[in-house]
Amino acid sequence: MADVNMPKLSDTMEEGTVVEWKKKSGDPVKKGEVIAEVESDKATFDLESEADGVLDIIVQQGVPAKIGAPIARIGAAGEAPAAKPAPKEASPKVEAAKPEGPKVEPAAPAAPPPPSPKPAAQPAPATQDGDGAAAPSAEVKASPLAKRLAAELGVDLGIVQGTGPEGRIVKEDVQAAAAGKTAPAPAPTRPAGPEVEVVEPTRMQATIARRMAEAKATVPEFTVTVEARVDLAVSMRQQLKDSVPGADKVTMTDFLVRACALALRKFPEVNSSWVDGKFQRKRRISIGLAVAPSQGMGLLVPVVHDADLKDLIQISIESRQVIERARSGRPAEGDLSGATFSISNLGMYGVDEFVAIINPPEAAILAVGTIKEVPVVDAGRIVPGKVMRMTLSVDHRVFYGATAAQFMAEVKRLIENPVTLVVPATQ
Amino acid sequence: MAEEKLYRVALREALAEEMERDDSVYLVGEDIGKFGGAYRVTEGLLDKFGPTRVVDAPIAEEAIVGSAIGSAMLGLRPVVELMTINFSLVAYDQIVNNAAKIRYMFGGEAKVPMVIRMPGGAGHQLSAQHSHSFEVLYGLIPGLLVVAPTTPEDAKGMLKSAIRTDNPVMFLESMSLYNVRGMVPDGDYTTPIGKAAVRRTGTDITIIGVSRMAVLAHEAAKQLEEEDIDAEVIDLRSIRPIDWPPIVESVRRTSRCLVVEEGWATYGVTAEIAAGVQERCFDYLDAPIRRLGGAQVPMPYSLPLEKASIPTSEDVKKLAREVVGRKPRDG
Repeated sequence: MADVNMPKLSDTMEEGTVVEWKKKSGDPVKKGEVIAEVESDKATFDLESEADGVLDIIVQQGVPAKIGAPIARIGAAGEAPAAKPAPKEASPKVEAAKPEGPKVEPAAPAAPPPPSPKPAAQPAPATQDGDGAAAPSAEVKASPLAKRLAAELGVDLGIVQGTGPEGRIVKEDVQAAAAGKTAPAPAPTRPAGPEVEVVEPTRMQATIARRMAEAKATVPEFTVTVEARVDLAVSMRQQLKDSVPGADKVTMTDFLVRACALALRKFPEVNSSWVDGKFQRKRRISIGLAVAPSQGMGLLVPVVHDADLKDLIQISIESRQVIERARSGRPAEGDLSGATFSISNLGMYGVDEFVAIINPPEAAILAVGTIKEVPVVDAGRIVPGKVMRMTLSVDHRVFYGATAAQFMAEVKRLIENPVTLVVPATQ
Repeated sequence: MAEEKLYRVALREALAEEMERDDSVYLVGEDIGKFGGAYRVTEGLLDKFGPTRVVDAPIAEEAIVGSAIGSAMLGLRPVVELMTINFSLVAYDQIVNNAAKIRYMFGGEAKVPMVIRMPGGAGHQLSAQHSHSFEVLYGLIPGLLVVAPTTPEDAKGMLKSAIRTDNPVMFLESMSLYNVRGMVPDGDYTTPIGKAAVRRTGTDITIIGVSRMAVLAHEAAKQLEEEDIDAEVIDLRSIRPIDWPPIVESVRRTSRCLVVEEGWATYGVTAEIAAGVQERCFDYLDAPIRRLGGAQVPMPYSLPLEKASIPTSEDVKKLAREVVGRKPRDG
């Protein structure tokens, strides 16, 4: 008998919920086989069996369990499932409802006759109320992904209009139907109901609320802002996109990841934490990227690990992949944990500058504003130039004003001399 | 550092460097010595290494491969050049019944560290007996490793890996790639056999290309960007074994898949990939997996007919649009 425990899926996870058991109690399972889908505060993961044997579910789906708590057991085949203290629900009900003995279908008069050609049933289904229009739900054409999503989101495919080839229901149709269910079309008149609507946060939103309040209550922070000229970085990015294979999607954030990684290597005290009254200097430099999830409100921080050991193009490819995985709700292990520094870029929304809240135990976060064309004074003449403002929020317990200023000066120097960002990564 | 080189030059460097590194490596094939090879890959190597290590063979593929297998069993590392993959059919018995099986049948006491290099593909009006793409004929044989590099960097790195491998490697080149240029790292490096390469990341569809079709897929993907279709491109590189993890990861993300080969798609490499993707990604698919291959005809000599017989980037784009569910563009 091996216990299956609630896994720890991210740094901040304290409890998780089985969204769906893929197997029933009593089902044989194989090592490596997916037995459940588990939801943490950030995402949904497939839980694999670590042994061959027979599954015995302890915690039913939808019921939260603490990290490490047993949620099921895997017993040897033939081994009697551990004496069950009155299982909470499900399985016995089904058994009780079943008649004893071999299952014999009653000779149903409604049983379909053997297929025979019925040309008349084909056209004008609208007027047909007999066998022509009888079984729409079984005939619904939907992609496997759409079927799975429909089951997960509780959408009845029978009422969804397919927009794919040959009227096939595809992912977007199911998502649209699910959104329609939860968010009714805005009415021109004020809807009836209470003045204030109480909305349950998602698990992710609850975690964000708790951790941001913790950060503000415990971290004495100050901020340092610099403005960098980015004309060269902007043109280099265009050159890379146009002429370097693999760099076609490089972003300004990728440039900043590379710049911060290099600067962090120079200032190890920034790549540190304050834990239990001591400094923790981190050997690895891993950079979290604050991004919005693809659906709903929330915040994800996918991580580019060992960013100082990767060149700009690697960073570009990897950051896209890790963001995509995080947004898909199916991150790989480590995608959402282990950051030592974070970057939040709201430049694409036209924000001039802002102050980000530190994500403990990291000691700093860089908030990046938009790139603006402004008149700048260059060698005594006013010329058009591109500038970008960056604000570093700093945990004052971990490092101090002078270091913060020097660190920002280094980031500014690197981004203003972007050739430093495209030389190969060194060990 | 790296330098831009032709695919054929990258191959030549791999051969020369491996011959310098290891005395047991030798080359054998038709016209590879004095003539320098039908595609000039072995040019200059006869002068450098002499006639015992660069062996001009008679026009007898079965004998060339058979002798190479024997020498490999006795400790040499032959690198065979066959003029086209069509001609390898003359030696198919030697490759399938001997090269692929000897290590197994001898209980591991003999091995066949042999590489067979051969180009495939059409586009040069070489007609029905010199232009086909038979990756699948070798891909289905257990005991063989089958690779198809598409860049000069991979050509060199994978040929070095192939020569150092203790098992027979079918090294499939492409006539249309010999004159392609690309960056090649300096010095000694190897590229692993058995690994696919993600050439472009994207979110809407995964296009998997076999051999030169990976290059074609990349071109098509760049053009699809203008139509707001963000295609991910995977260069299969290794036909046997197939590197499933990056393919599965990608298709689960994009939910859509198109597979392209130059050879006949019926019973083709694309059939194998499509079946494997379906088994591994069924619940993630939002559209049927589609395949694209060459026309089901012996390759025509006529230039317009030959062009019409092999996939183009327009063909890739058309199918990609269908898979993604976009209407064809006007005109």
